[in-house]
Amino acid sequence: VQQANRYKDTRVELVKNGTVRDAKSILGVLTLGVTRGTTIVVRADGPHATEVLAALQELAAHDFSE
Amino acid sequence: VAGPIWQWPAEVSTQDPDRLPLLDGPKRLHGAIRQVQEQLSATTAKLRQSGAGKQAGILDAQRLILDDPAFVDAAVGAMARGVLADQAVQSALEPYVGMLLESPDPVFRARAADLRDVIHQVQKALQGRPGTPPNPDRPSIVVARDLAPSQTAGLDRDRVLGFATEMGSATAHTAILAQALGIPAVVGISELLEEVREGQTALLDGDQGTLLLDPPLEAIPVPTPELLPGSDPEPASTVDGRRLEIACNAAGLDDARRAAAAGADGIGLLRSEFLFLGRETLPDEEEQVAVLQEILAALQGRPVILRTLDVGADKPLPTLPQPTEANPALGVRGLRLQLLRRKDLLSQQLRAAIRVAMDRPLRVMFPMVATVAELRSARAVLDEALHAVGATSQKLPQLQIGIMVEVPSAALSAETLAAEVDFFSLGTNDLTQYVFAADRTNPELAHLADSLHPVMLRLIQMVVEGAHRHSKWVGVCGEMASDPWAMPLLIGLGVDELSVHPPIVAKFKARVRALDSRACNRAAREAIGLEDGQQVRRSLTARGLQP
Repeated sequence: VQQANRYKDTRVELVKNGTVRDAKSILGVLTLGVTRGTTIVVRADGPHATEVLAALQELAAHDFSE
Repeated sequence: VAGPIWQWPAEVSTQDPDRLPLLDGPKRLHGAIRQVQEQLSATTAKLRQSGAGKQAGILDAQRLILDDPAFVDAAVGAMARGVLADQAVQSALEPYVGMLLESPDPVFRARAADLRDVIHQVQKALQGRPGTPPNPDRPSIVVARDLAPSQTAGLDRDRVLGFATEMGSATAHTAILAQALGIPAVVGISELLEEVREGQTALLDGDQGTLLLDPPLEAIPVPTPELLPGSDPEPASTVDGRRLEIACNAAGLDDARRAAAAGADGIGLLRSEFLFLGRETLPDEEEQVAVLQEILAALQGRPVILRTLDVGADKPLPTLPQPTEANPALGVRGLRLQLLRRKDLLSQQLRAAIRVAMDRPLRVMFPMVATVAELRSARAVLDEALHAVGATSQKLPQLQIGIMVEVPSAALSAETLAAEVDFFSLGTNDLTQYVFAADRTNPELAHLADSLHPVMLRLIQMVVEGAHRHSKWVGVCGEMASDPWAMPLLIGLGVDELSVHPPIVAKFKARVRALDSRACNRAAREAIGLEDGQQVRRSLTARGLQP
């Protein structure tokens, strides 16, 4: 959420089983119920879409488990 | 642990709308949110100081909730429909609490307590009730129906021996925080509050998960007395009455406590980088204020010199990556980096420092100053910060401003610089490397960089004379300050303060009291005319001034 919020001009969304949540909203992300091993789709739209996706991929690669 | 029971005061009911005249709209809500965020920042800072940096993320998440438009917009929307502010907060978050409680995963169910914690904190702020958690006035075992994560994180470890609650689970953040803070805790004891009396002696065992009331005396473990280190809090003067302050270098609260325990006269160098290490985000102003206040409190009225951020390509900081340079030691580092690239960070650090300096002896020092122009730019940022905080330097006479003297050009222009600062602190490690053009990280060149070399002594003499001509004081915060060979020379050259390693404070103060500054001065004058460091040491030995 913090990472996604760094890109004010870019929309970032998480999709799990067809449910879409704003990646910048901690309440939305929390109640999406993503646990370790869950597959989710991250999509971004805006001037920094590529960057934000790379940053989030990096975060996932470094194990952002709670 | 064993101690008297202390019952957590029951919360005032928040259900009676007649007592809550909260009709002045979203502005009040935003104010309350900001207040809670500031409290959370301060508590987070404390957690990081206690080594619970990872667990501090729990409260960071609460701050994110307060920033979340899904919460703020829903609450403001409800208020626009005439709902009272504290109920609007509740109604905005309650659906999420419900969703989390329905989760099959216990980890998510436990997060519902975090949302409720946020709700209660904002409601308390709206009602103008103090956000800081109550604490017992003597070391006690705290007993409560439930403790929220933010309340647990705010417990005063000096006065809370342990705690027990009726509610709660092992996966709850409250239990996780207690463990990280090293507070023994037992959660989930049913009918606890009916069983205990205020002041009753209890024995709490966090590992076994038991709370024993009125334990037999032989069951109470006898605390092992802590060994007191050699401490010497008295000021030190030479036999002829010249005062030399013995302060300590520090990089965090633990160091500051060690320094205070050793009897140091202050902190001569507080490396502010510690505030920025071991974390993923830069600390905000509130957090810096909270940490600095704790450090000043640990020093109990003795002065602390905060060195503003000293990083660069050779002193990297993960949260502040800098491009590589061909000659990092001669590159964009220290004050240069702050002025050229991150004025915002300098200004933020200064605002935090000024706020603390309003009622505590905090001093500020800029690293890597090479020219008067740089000093003036830094002072301009300071003036802006004073203005932003609503202070002036007239109102803050105790706020001393100084510079590190570690670049030869600064040493050579000491007299000019002295007119515009309150003090100098000689950073002898860098000064030596720059004077001899010998990389201090290269062991092959170690023989070149001898801080007792007469050239160094001459430079130090020039700095001290320049400062004293303007009635400004000079300290030494590099390794030279802790070198027992250097002490008589530095006294002889007129240095006013040494910032040393905590374990040698008492030894150094004893040595000061045995020295005569006039004899030191004669030794220093002779040393300046010698050829190298070895000759200087021989001359000291001949005068009986060897360590």
